[in-house]
Amino acid sequence: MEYEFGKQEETGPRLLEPYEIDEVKSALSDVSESVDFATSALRRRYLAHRLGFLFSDVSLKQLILLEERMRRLAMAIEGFSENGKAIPSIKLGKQREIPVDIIGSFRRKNDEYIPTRIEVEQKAVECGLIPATMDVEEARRTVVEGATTEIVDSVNINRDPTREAGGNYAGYRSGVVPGLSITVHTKHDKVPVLYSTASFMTYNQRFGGSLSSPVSSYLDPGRYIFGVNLASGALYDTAENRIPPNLTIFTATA
Amino acid sequence: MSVDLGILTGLVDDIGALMAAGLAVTLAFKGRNDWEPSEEDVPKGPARVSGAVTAVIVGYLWFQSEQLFDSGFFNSIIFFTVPAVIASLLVYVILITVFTYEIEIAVSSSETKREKLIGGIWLRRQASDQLRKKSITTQKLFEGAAYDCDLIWPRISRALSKVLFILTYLILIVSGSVMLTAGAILLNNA
Repeated sequence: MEYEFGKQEETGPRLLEPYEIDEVKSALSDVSESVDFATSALRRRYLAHRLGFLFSDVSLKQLILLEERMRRLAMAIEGFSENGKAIPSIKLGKQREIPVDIIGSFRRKNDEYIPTRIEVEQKAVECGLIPATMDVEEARRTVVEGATTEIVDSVNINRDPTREAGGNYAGYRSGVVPGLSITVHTKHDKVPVLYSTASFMTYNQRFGGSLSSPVSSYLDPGRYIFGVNLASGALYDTAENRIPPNLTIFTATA
Repeated sequence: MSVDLGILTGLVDDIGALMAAGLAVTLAFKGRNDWEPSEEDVPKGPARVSGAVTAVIVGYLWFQSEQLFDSGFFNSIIFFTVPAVIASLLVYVILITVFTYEIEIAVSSSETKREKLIGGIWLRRQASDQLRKKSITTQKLFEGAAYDCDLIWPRISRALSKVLFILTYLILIVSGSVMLTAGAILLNNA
């Protein structure tokens, strides 16, 4: 089933309020501190009770909207819970997973019914979801990727030696050489381009000093993931790009 | 043009002769094979140390050859050094196979070169987690970390593996050179 984010709700997704972000950080802190206990079913259910859940009636439509919020949340919790501890999550289909305890942080106000973890899981199963667990890093990355369609059009290595003299460069590690001169073409114009190493996601690393597209900068050889920083938050591509590319990489049709 | 070293002239000449002999024997054993650890950041020290140790041992064996020849000392040396050479060679091959990785380095803004790099004995926790989740090789994970060693291995892990390489290399070269020397002395005095 294919769908597009932000197109399912007439009102569209909204940005998190500051008090919501604080609430999420507080909840995640509790989860991280009690990770061993959190891995047991009893602890997870206790956390679910304590945290509550955003939705009283789980539907795919709501989850799609929620996923967009998750993506923004992932940006909000950047630098938080770096210890890679496990948190419960819900797997959407085979690819997309949503951390349950982050979802739980979006609870509704006091006068609304808050379902238990068991109720949510039952609803999730009805909707074709699979409860699962993942560590923070994977959850964060999955949440980000879950909201991402193909970002990068192409990644090219610049053969023009005159480019060596100037420009910004990222990932400087090759001695006197600032790295390979790379040009990234994206589908989004006039937005900052982001990059991360493929094996270990690091967010909000700016690629180049100009806005897309294209953007040129320097990178060391390796495999990378690129993204763009939109007004609503960062979007990362799911495709990994080898640097230097053996050939021009087209990750999607324009 | 010679330099007058005074009373040290004889000593310097002897050291020069020893080093030359040690180097000659070491080269005879190494031949043109590149035995040295493949990684560039392994210091050149092991080669020099093995040369110096070999030189001293060769000198000792030569000067003591007349007194020790009849005692079976040189037979004992060969008896111990032959298995040492074989064992250290096998260990060295295992080390190279297990701990050597490829790294790609930018040499200009558009060109790269590949080099060998010695990895660590154990991985960082986050790296082993990624390996388990993604079911990829360490080489692939290394590539995905933009060849940043510190993301894959703790520094102490890499240091210990380098020490293993160097130790094995020293044992291989020194025992091989001494084995050759002992064999040559036996042949010469036969």
